[in-house]
Amino acid sequence: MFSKLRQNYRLSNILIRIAFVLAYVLYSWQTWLASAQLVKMQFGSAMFLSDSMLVAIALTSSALVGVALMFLLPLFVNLFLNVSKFHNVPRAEFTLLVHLFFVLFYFVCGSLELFNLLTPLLINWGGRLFELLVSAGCVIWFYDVTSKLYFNDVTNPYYFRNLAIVYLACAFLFGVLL
Amino acid sequence: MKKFVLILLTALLISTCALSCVAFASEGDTQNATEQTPPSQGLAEFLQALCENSGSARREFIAEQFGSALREQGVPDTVVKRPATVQNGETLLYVCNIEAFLDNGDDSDDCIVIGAHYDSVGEGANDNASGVTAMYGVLQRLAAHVSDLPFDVLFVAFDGEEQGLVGSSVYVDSQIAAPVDDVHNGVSLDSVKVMFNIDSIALGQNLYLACENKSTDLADLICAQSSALREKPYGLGVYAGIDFYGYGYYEYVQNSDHTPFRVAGVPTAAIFSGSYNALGYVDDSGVQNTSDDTFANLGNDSLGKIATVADVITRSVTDENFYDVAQNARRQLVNLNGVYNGLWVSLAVAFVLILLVVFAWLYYRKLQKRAILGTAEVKTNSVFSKPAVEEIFTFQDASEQSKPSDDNADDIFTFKK
Repeated sequence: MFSKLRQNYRLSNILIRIAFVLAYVLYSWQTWLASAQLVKMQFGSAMFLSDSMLVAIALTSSALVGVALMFLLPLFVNLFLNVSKFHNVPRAEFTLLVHLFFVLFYFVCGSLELFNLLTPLLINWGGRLFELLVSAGCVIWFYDVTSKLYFNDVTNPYYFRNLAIVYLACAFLFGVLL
Repeated sequence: MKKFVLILLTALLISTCALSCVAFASEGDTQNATEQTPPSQGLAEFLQALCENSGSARREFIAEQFGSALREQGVPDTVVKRPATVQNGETLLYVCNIEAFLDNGDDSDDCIVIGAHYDSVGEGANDNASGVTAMYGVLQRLAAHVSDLPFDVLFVAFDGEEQGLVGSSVYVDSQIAAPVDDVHNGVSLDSVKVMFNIDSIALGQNLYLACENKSTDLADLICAQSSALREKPYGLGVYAGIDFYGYGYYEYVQNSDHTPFRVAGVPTAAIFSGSYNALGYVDDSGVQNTSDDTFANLGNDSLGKIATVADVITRSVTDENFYDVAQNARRQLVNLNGVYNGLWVSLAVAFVLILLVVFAWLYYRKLQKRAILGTAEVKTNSVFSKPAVEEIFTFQDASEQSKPSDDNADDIFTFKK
């Protein structure tokens, strides 16, 4: 799979970035739509917004934030690689795999969140536990792929430690504190 | 394996989308409230007079009418006005709920509450003179039969709903704060089996009942009384996960006087009108909280809807199964309080995180050993201790080996590959 990705690197780059934005929209559209509804309620009759306009606003906002995240992500990846002193890792390719990690995470979580349309009972428990479990699965997959591509038995422990610290810190921050 | 996971994910996505579409299609359709009860005598006059009065005049009118309805049925006039002042930021709000208590005469404290708010923006014919009128209709019918009921009935016309559920919140707070033997009319929240709330029922396209966000026996019993009333669609619309009231989720329709009761753990049955689309509840009256919400702008079927609601509540309360269902209603509440949604979820997430940390640490030690020992096989899980030499080398049994040559280490032990 990754040899094909490397062979068609430019096409893969474009496709993965598009998939990133789409997956983010699938993941976050409900939150944006609810926010748009709250804004509409806040302004009441002073602001006329039809349902289709609300949906359009929510999808556009979601896509814009997805694009912004897509450009912000390399900054965090570079920071991680610099702090960890992984200077031998090809940054562009590694960033692309990070994008792919988020595509997988957003897609699975977004699909699971569709259950919110059927029942709201999973929102609190499901929303937080699903995301944690899915992100754990995705990060294991990401580590499995990248450790084989860029690291060996000697450098792997250091890479694993740093990746685990970053992941667990983020999981604690977003899963427990926020 | 990868293909299987991919197929599984795709199937999951497609099935969820399909189910969502089915839910939208089934719940988005409109319902014709054709089977309405003919309006009973006096309700139209009551509604019109209610719309013509406002403020304290409306309050006095309701108290007077409720009192006279009780007296006409030969029941003691128990109507009381309960004024209260509430500090809302820098503003001091004055509210005055009106209560009428029907005592069934037995020693039991069991009670149901039927409520509707009488304050409004402008004339408020739909929101909520219609609800008060329906409540008046129920009071007229139940007053004569209350001794047959296994519970008392408390009617409350709430004030200050439009200012943020002030009247109902004051009522619930006062009941919680009051000593058990000093609660209003002997009604404590623990003894309230069900709270009915009637709000804006005259103009919307359909009549809906909201109990919980799932089907309950109480909802089934009430909806069985009339085909003109149906349960609100479940799981329709977008849920922001914003917990305004401690339900664990937010829904526009739940913003009425039953909410403080529901948050306090009392089973509620809210009756309202409107319609639903794919995004959730829609107030289709077009005049909500505007100066156009007048008696003149009510529809031809408005009185029919009011009479239907009064009829449904009366028949539900007098249903032979109502008491058992009401007794069980608390057990069917969706348990979405702050502890369930906040603390336990955080603890569960923290527990999973701790597991992840432990596994990550164990795996990290294993990687470290592998890094030290090259590609040697790690046979032990005791990663916290230094590996014993037997874990690295496999020794040959001395009895099986021939006499070793002097300088050949391979004759004594073999290196793990």
